[in-house]
Amino acid sequence: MEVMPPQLAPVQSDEEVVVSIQGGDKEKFGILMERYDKKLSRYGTKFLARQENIDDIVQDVFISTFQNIQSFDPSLKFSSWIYRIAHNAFVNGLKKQQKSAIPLPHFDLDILMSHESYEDPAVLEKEYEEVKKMLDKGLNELEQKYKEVLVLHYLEDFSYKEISDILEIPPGTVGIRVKRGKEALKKVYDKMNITYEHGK
Amino acid sequence: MNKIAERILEKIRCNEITATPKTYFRLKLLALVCVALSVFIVSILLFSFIFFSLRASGQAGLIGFGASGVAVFLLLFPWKLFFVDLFLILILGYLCRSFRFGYQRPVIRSIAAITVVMILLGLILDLVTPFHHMLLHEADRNALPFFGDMYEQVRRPPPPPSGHDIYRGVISGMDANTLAVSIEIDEDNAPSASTTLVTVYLPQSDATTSFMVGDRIFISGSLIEGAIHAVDIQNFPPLESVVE
Repeated sequence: MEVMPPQLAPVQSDEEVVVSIQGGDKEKFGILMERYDKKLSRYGTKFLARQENIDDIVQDVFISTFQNIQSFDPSLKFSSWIYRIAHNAFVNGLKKQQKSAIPLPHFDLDILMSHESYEDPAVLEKEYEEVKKMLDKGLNELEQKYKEVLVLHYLEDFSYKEISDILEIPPGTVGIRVKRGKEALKKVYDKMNITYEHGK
Repeated sequence: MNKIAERILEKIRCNEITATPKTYFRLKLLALVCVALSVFIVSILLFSFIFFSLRASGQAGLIGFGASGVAVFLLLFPWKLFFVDLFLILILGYLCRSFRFGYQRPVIRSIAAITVVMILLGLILDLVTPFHHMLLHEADRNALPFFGDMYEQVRRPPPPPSGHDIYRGVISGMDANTLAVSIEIDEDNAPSASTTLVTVYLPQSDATTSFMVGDRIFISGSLIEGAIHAVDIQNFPPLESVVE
């Protein structure tokens, strides 16, 4: 006799969960918190060192997300939206920590200019692991604007278009920052006399 | 689920944390659109007024005098209005960045596109519609609050600054080779320009038949003892014919 596998409930996408919450099913916000708790905490470690600060900010991000849930357009990606909230919260947290001693560039020249940039899957495939490994050691030496795009692209797996929505900058600017960030990362490695593998 | 998430969910259940209603976000968006639209319209009106004032005061014709004409044109250009307009464009560019279509394009490209659209709409408003003519007539009747002075300036634009050998005047008489022109002279430290009747000797290429009594003209040439031997003359129609 053939045994039928148990019926698994189809996993709802983030956007479907949001639609339910917008319709009044508040309990489902727990699903979103479960899905993003670790991701946002991990993202926070790229900005802040103390885990208590990160936890506090993640908590604020979830509260803010729920309070503003009705403003989310479900035709867009929820992950980009919540990361935008989280990114702004972590940047503010960092500013507070540094007491604005080091001004964080919010408006940069490369947002003004037009950049043609696209993601080449072949190049990405080749460089992906290499850059990911390099980010472990060299990340803190990079300028904030390069650091954030490299983290979002290589560690959080967002596309240029999604990063564009998170940081509210043109996709071309994301591309040029990723490119310059990688170059800066390689310079950091050269300075520190650490060898990196070329496209292996 | 971890403790933080549990705590947040508990607060949501007890309505200690509530979602802001959709209406609030809709109204906020509407307010933003209204502000952006207002800035857009005001900016078009300003561009349009700049074109109208240059055309109606004849200042655009100064460019025909070459380098010194361009210099005088730039000195008389309504820079204040122009910079106010630029500021409005920057505000509009900033407001557009609140929308997805705004931040997905480089700022320079967005601002350039906004400026081109505004200039075109401003030109259309000036050349195709009677909008400014109507407002000028209202200003004449002292029935245009706030902007009346701005429109009256079109009727009484400042004369070309002294030292550039360019004069503006109205033809009051003529014979075969000369024009009698009452010109405005910008005297240093004088509160307003004074009017003087001068004889203008036409350049060889021009004939008095090209002019009519009442014409407003710019004259390029040196004023010596009540006479100007004109190097060039730019004729522009009376204001009434421009605004009719």
